[in-house]
Amino acid sequence: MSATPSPAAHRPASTQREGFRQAMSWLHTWAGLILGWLLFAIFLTGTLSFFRSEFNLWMRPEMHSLPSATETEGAAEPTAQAAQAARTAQTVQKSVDALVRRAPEVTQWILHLPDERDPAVNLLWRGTGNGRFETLRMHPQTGEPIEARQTMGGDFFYRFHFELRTAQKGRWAIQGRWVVGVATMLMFVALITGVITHRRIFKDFFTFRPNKGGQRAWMDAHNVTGVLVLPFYLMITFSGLMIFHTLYMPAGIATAYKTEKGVDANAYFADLQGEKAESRPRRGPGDPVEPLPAIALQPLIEAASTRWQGGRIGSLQARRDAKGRAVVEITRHDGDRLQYRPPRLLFDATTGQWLDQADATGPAARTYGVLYGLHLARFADAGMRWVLFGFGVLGSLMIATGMVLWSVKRSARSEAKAQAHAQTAASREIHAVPLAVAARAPFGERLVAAINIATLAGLPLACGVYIASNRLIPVGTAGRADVELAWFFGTWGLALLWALACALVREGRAGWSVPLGAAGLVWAALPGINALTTRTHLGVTLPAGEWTWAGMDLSFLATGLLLGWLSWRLRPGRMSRGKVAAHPGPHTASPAPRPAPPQAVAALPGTPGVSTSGA
Amino acid sequence: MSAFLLCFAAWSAIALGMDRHHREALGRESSARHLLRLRRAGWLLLLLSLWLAARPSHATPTSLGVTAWAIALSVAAVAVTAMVTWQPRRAPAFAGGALVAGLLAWALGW
Amino acid sequence: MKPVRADGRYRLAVASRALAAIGGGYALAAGWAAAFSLALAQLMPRVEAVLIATMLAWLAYAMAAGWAFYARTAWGAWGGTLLPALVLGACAMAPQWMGITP
Repeated sequence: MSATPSPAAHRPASTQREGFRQAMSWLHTWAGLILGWLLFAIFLTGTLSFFRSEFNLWMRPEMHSLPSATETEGAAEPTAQAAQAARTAQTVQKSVDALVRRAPEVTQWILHLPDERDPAVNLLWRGTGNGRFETLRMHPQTGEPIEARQTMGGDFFYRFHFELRTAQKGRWAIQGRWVVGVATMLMFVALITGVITHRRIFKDFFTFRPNKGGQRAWMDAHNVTGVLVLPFYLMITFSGLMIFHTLYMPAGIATAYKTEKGVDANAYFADLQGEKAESRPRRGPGDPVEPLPAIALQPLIEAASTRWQGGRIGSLQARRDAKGRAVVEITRHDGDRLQYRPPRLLFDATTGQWLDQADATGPAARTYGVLYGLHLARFADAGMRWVLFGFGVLGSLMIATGMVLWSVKRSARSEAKAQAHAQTAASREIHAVPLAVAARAPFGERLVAAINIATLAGLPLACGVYIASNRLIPVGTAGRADVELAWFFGTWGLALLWALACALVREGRAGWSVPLGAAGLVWAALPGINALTTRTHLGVTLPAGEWTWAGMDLSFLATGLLLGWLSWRLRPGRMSRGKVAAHPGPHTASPAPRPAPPQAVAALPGTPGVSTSGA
Repeated sequence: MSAFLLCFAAWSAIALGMDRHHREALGRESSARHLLRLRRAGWLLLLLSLWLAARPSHATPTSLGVTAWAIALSVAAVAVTAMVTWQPRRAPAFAGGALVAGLLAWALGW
Repeated sequence: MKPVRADGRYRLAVASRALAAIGGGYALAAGWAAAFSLALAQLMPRVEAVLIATMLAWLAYAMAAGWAFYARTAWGAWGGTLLPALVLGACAMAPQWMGITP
């Protein structure tokens, strides 16, 4: 990797062109560096989002007593199908009745049935044409709403990941998505230029030499985490660009869907989903909508089950279409195929007549659906989900090692320059500026070093604090969900202040060691905090074999131990022999090799007087 | 599972077909032709594992099979890298074991 | 190799290329998406055309960004991004200008 400026600048005036590889190397460095810290945050929260359901559950301990879902897969035989349909219908009817009792003015509701990852009924509803949805969680057998503590749960990681959400009812979703889009495009460029630049991509495919220390080890770590999982990164990044393509790259839509009256975006959205445009109205904020009538849901559910030959139902929705007719849409479970969204059946709510099946069928539309589905990974079972989580951790590591590598290289260069200066000064017998001051790293490098610490160490700490806050903030607090977020962002801010202070004072490795150590403490303490504040702790969940709950606590503990170990290895005062080869994210249960660094030579420019911050 | 094991064996062959890793694993140099054959065998085994994974069964359509294979491919690559980094001398034995286990697993439908 | 001087001219050149990559590249990608969507829409359903064109547009954007930093000069960077963008945009608008479509 070349940290030198663009080839164009320092070419001689003749037409000699610098290599393609070198130009791409420069582009790779800067595309990665500009928003690398944000990319790390996006990648890390995205990785945590693979377990969104599990976080949602764990952070609402009031849901602990719910019975497990009975419908965890489709039914094969007609009798089993009928029984399943009957049970589903009972659950749905009870929940909807409870909703209508509470909110007779409801104009639209979306009901998600319990499954193996979430034992509750999730009911989103609204009483207006275009307003926000409210959420109710209901008991699957009685249909009664469960009063759980107000929290965003795993949905925070999810929404931060793609729209940089900072509040429960955040209003900057579009702007956040734009920023994420810019970061995604930079990631896309960085991935492609990284492959182009990597000269020995096949020869060095399996090469990882933590022993060598210094730039070589960091480079190996960056290469290995980057290349071995490359298909996943390319898929995740490209699918991310396509998921929001209607926002980021609407030129095609604007051209092909142009009519006399402007661009018929509704038609595009409908075509994309494989449904008719009038089945899903786009209403303005003030548009009046009549409340829904009473609906007989059982016959519809039975009809859906028959049509899908026992394929399990994921959710139901009742709304009024563009013509004001009340319709019910029954959607298949999204875990049952790769392509997203799953097929949906449309029924007339009042007559029960089947109207339509919506599903994208064209090859390009299905490709889009598969890309979307791969990104969300709803199709993945528990084992595969853990593997994908591990890939996410490796991706976060790839970004982290890249940023650290840049810092390490620049430090080494400044140090070499400083030593050269000192030597020339000494040889001229001029009283040189004291080595310590002459070797002070330039502002840009110290800034990057500070950002590195604040994000790569601060974010895991902030995530741990967010989860802890879920147990520590009193349940009745007003605006509780936003208070939890305040703990998250406050911690991240503190980490930034710490890092900036370190950059000013030339602290060296304490800069890393302290936030990582704090993170290790917080994550490791989570099971304990859980035990002190709830009844869903390991003492209860392990004997009961409730692996969704227990698995979370155990994972938190493992994460804390790993972060603590990392902090220990990076503690100052340790002679500059040990070096950690890579910086892991919070979770550890991935199959990724945890680089256990044997004795290594100083990776960090450890000569006295030289700033080691950031590496 | 069979996809992972076969890919592990395949990546191992490719790795052992490289000078550096071959030396670390077996303690001796080998002719360029031998290394080339190892690498070729590895690539062929990768293709075979893909073909086996892509065959649709009653539970798994092709798309899911190929996706699972692509995931297994990366996991196996990571595992082999770990192997040649920290336990190079055991790499050939593990590779052979993975090949046998992989074929067995596929035959049994795992 | 000549020693690098991080002087004003160099910074300007880099900034110019960056703008060409980010802005010019986007214009090129959008122009591509528009022109290709229109062209393919003659052969297949509109949604298919738009999706194919848009997926390829991302690749076009990446290639344009690469070009912006590989070109011999900063002017070349703009030439390789903005010019094709204008041409593609013209192709996309042509049917409208010629009164064929609304």
